[in-house]
Amino acid sequence: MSDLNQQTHFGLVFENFLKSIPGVTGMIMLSILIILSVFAEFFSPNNPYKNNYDHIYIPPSKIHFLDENNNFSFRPFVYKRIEEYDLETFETFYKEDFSQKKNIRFFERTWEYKLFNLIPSNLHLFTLEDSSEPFFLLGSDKLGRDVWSRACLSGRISLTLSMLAVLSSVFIGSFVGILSGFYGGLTDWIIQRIVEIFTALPALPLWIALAALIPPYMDSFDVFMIMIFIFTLLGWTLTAREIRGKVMSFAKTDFINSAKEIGASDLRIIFIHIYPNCMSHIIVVSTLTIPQMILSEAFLSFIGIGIQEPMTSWGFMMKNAQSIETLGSHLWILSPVFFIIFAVLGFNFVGDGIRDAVDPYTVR
Amino acid sequence: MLFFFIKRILTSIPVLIGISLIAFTIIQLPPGDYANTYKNEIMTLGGVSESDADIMAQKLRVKYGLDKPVFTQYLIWIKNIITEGNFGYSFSYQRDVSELILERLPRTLLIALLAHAITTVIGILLGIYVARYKYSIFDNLITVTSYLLTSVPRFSLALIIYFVLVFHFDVKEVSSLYSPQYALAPWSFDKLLNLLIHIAPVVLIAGLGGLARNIRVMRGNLLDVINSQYIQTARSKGLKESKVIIKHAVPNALHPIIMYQGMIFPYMIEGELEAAIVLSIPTMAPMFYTAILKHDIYVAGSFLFVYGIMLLVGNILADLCLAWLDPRIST
Amino acid sequence: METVLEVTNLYKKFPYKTNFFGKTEKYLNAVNGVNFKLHKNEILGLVGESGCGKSTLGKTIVSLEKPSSGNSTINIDGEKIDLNSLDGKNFRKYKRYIRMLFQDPFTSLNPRLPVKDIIAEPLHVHYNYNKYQITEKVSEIMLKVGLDPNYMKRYPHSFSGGQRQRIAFARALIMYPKILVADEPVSALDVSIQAQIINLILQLKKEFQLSIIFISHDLSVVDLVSDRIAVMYFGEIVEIGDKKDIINNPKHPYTEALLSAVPIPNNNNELNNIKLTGELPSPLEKITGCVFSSRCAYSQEICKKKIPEFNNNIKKNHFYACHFDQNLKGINSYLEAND
Repeated sequence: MSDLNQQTHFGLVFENFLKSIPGVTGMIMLSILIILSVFAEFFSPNNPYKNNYDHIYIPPSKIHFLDENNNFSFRPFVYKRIEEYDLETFETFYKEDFSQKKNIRFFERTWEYKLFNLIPSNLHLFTLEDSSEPFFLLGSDKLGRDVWSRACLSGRISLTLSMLAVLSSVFIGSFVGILSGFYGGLTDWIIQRIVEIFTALPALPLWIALAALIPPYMDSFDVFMIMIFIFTLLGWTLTAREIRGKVMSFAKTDFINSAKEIGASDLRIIFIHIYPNCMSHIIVVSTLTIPQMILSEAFLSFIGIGIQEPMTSWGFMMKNAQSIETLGSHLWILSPVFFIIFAVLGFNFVGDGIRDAVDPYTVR
Repeated sequence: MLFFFIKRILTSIPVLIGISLIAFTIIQLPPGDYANTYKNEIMTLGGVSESDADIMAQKLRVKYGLDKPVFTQYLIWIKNIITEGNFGYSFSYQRDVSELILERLPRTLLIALLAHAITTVIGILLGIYVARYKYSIFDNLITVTSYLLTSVPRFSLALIIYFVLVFHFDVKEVSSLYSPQYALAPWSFDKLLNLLIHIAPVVLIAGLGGLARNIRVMRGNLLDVINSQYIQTARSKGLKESKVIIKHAVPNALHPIIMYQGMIFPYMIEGELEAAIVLSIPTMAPMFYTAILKHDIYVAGSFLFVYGIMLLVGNILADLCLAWLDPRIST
Repeated sequence: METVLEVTNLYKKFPYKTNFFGKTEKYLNAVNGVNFKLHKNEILGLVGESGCGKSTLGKTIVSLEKPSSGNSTINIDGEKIDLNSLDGKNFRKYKRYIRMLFQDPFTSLNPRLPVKDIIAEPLHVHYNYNKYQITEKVSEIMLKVGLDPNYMKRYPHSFSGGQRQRIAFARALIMYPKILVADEPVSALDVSIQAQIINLILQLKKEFQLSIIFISHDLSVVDLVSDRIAVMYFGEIVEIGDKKDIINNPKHPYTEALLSAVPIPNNNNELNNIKLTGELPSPLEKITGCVFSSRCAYSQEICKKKIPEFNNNIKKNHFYACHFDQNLKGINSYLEAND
């Protein structure tokens, strides 16, 4: 036997996963998002924490590589914009002044921030050479803050909230599911009834009702925790059902019987024999539930329930789009939706990749 | 079969009680009650002094029984529902909640059921088509599109459609169910058509995600079934390929879809909720939302309860369908 | 001969149908009053068709299932111990003396554990050895069953069927039990591997001084390995005796039918086996009369009415449950081929 046979199950699965195109693509997408979120300030030319009342609702800057004479320059640049009023509708719009070119610089040092809240730094990936000219990749919001920077920052809350909520749901759900599947009988029956009651509850209305209860003066961290709790409250049932099914399918097989015959305690059987065999299923269910959490959290934040200032999430950023007038004039407010789509696609791809990798029956 | 039906209903009763308890409890959770909101309102808007406002608020409390212990309030509420169909009183709308339910529930159901029906039927048909022409350009296109559709949050879809309708098509009546000329008119075919046109965006938004899921699931099931042995047997008998698929494969692949209906319906309800709140269509959802914010407990609690009942009924129907199709389950 | 295991009046019923309130209405009778003894250092072959209850009997003996009535006791150093009546600590103390070997080597090993942990499982459960002691013991036992200890960090999927069965043996024998219940240990293996494992069983029996109950549906395999044979039909033992007696002089019609059905390789004659006709009795109902009467070629009126007692006619060790004492050499091609 060659050394190939020494691979652990995890090694085999990982190898398989790398062969799956959606899986790898998803991994790359998620890595990009995570890097953007963690190093949000590095990727932000403007300070997302500071309000800037001079630059309210400014449309996205147009980046050019070709100038008006069709000369190509490697360094991207923008033109200075002049505010003008449309005399008929009284709306402001921006015209580019082709005489004034402003270059985009990379790895500049401008406004200060703290990396991981610890290490002070002022390095940014890209900024405009002239800081007086407003430079917004995705436009600015009601308080003059850069939408792009805020979106990167929002990733922190949106991603961690969803992942932690799923983690705790899965933790509780897998525990309940394993108990239900392994013991069967009365235990199973009782647990099933409880699961039924929880699944009969309408999720979104319940979340709205619960999240609306959070008093507005509550500390951000507490709000975060409560949101996780609210999502977990209904989220555990899905995992419980799935894991129960999986456990029941192999609870009667011989290796469990043999462990029983040897005299292993129930606890030992659960942790050493059952859990590891469910693990891949648990991971697949988790990665495929995270997108739902992201979407639900986005909606709740959008209608103003749950996440409040100073926290920010992708849904929260789009709150002002509720009024059609605002949306009509400032369409770029919706840009965080692309982050959401990117995240959801990423997790779905990774989940599909993992699911195919652990399933020995799919033809590669 | 009948026995199964009765058994199913009996096991639903504790679930129903559970839902009602939870619905009522949640609404009672925040400190204070409507009397407080009322007091604040008359103080700020009416300029009433605090002590006077207190007295008036207390009168309101006694009038609506808000001063009784919570569990008593719950029992009264339940008793009223069962004996009189009285779901309580809405403080902000000054009407009986049951009236509001009667007004709004049919619209929510109509939209949700329409969305459900359309996504199921179209989803199944498309699923069959793409399974048949697996890996063709049409299959890939549909797969990619449905993937994207499930990734877009439905409220943003609602916003985009809203935007397009208002700014590109100059539609001015997005938030209403009927054009003004039909609103109070008696029922006619034209009025029905008008209604359908108005709720089409909401149905679309609610349904698109479900459509994508149905296609994927149907495609997956059908592919599994097609690769199984009895299909190969049917082929070897010399049957035409399309007949093989329609007569043998599809009925068996449909089975998991029916089981799945129990999960699709809540998804439709949630989709309708998202779309309706964003577009302000007068169904249950926006009223529920405002009632929660305003602490209108009977509206919020009853609506939550009604949502729960809808889901429960949906589940029972799905189980019945399944039991009817698969005799293994009902015995 | 010293008795190492004794089964007395063992019954095992499974609830089959429960009514609305959870009370059991019907039972499935898997084991219907089984009595036998296992002697020291012998291999008792338990043979019967699929569904006759032999696996259930095996599981009850090793306490995987609790008997509905009756008991099975093992004899340890002169003490008679009923495992099913013991609690926790005592149970674990004596459980090490009787071990079970499972049928399918592909499902009886946890795919997520390396072989070393699989084999060492009994050690982890019963004792507290440190890492080195465990590695030592595992190596020792692996050598004895014919495996290379260098591979102990590998996972079950790296091994062939025969090797996996050896791993199962290692796990069963690592604590040096006195009794082994082997449930169809070779049924899932290729014929050529079967021979290897059978030799391994015989060798291990000598080395470990084991007493083995060898459960199988294949009479030719049982013939190779056993000292005594017990024939099981429908939850009951219908005949039991020394191997030579059973094979050469079967006294129960079912045994005769089993023997006649064994295919003989390189035999140009047609297989003249006894074809059993008739309906199987329902496992849910109580049986009147002889359990085999509905399919027996020799059945008479009395067979349907009266339960036959165990007769013991020819030799001291040969028992059979039939009303009649016949010379059943009729159609017995297996016998002829082996004469």
